[in-house]
Amino acid sequence: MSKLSLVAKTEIAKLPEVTAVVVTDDAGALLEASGDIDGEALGAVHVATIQAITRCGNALGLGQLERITVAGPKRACVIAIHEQEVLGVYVDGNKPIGAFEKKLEAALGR
Amino acid sequence: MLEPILQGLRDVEGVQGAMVMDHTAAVIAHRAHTIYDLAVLQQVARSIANTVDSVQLMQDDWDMLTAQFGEGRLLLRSLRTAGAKPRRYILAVIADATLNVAFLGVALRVTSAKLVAELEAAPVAAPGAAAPATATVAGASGGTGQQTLSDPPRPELAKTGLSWSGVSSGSGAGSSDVSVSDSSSSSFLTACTKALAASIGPMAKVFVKEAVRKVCGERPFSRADGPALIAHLANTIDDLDDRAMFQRAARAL
Repeated sequence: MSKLSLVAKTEIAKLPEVTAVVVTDDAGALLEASGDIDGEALGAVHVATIQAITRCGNALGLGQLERITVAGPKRACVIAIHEQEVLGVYVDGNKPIGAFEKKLEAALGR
Repeated sequence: MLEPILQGLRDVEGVQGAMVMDHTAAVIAHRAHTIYDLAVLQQVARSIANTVDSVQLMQDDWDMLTAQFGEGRLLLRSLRTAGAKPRRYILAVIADATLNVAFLGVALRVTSAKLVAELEAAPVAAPGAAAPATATVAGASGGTGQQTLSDPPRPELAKTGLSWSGVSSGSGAGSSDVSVSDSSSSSFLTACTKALAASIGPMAKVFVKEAVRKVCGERPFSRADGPALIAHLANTIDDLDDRAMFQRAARAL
């Protein structure tokens, strides 16, 4: 089990606002998943999203992509890149996403 | 008319540019630092379209995406118009590391509401033909430069604007604006346009403008002209169900 998978399973998935967690490698292959989601499918979507938004950042000269947060009325998803692996965390949309992002950064040791 | 609205975002500390794109990835308005010229923004718009396609797969009701980079942020906001033919646009904001997130949050809410109102009132352009013929790029100091694109021009009505906010001086022949006597009359016209748009779609504002000219001639529109305007507009709707729907909505105005 990779370090990110371990942190995702033992720390991040246990945060009260988290509903699901997916960890993939940078090619979209599933490494770890928990919660009521299709981790295999969503993991691939996370990587595709990262690749597309990275092209935006490259064109705009914004540097290396660190994190994507997608917010909606029912849930939010934070996708973070950590040591060539991709972590997707689904969060209750009613909880403050900014506070969760700080918790996530702390769990990832940033 | 979208560029002045985008300027509200440009005024936020750390914001380097903002643009609105449609579902075909065409940039329909932008206001950005000169380093982000239209060619760059168009390239970014295509990647944003790919991003949105992916995001839709995991969360089809998303309304905000924030991408944190090492040296800045890219924020995407989903804009959905109401009416008979809902359309989706994306507002993209480019920011550097000095961004004041709290101020941007407020500015985004205000700007999004204004953009949606403007987009709902605008006629629908043909797919792929939404890019403006002439785009204005604001420099770091707020100056403007002109940049001509090869894309097909938007319909004349779309780029001249049809605003009736405030007392317009543009009621003469050849002007696209109509005059209103006060702010309540302007609000009435906006509400009337929304009611009509639910029946006939985004051409509503054009029909309202024409009806105001027929009802009022050269004088400014006032709230007292409302019943005559509604009757005139109802007669322009051929479909009986649509006409009844408009009349029901207009009764509440």
